[in-house]
Amino acid sequence: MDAEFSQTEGTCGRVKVLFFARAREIAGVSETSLGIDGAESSKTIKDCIDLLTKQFPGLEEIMSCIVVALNQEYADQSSLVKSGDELALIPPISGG
Amino acid sequence: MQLEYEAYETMAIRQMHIICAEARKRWPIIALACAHRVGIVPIGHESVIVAASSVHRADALLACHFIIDEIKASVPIWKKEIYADGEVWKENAEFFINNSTSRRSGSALHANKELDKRADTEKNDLSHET
Repeated sequence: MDAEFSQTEGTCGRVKVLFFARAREIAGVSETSLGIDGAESSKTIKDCIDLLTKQFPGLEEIMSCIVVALNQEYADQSSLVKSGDELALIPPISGG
Repeated sequence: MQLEYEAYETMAIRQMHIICAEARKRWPIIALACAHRVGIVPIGHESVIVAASSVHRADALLACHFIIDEIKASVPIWKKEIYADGEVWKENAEFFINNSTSRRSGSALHANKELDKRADTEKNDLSHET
């Protein structure tokens, strides 16, 4: 059910992905995870986004205005992810 | 019409702490608090509150102004307008301004050159008043 960069057993070697607002409605879930342990090279946030848009094609239409947060800090898509990280897809915000 | 707020709660709280710490760096504030509601907020009711105290009112007022602007630019909270015939997710202009200048990297606070300029101008204006 969850997407993988490579086959991996168990719960370690995964990146948790959170969806909010419009992204959550499109994906149909508020969270998922990506397996990264054992992948042939380090993966970036961009790699995760690409995998997510394959798994949830509807996300393509909003990706141009999504920003990402890695472990609760805004991050550039070139940042590397590691096992245990938390990635969040953040559509345009509207608090305040 | 109903308003519903959703938040990435852990990051929203973290971001609000960062914003308040930045406000304290810029102005001599005695006490500071901010809170944002989540879930359904009835029309006409407040969704967010910012409170600040300082010896001279200009500092508290400028800090509040700064904090609200930063909340709108960078705290991961979303508002949905719910109508009988549909729903609309709102989008803050501040978010797009913030992201075009900082290009999705680093702290949102580095991108606020316009706010800095305005804060300096307002500080000068308000200090003439007292």
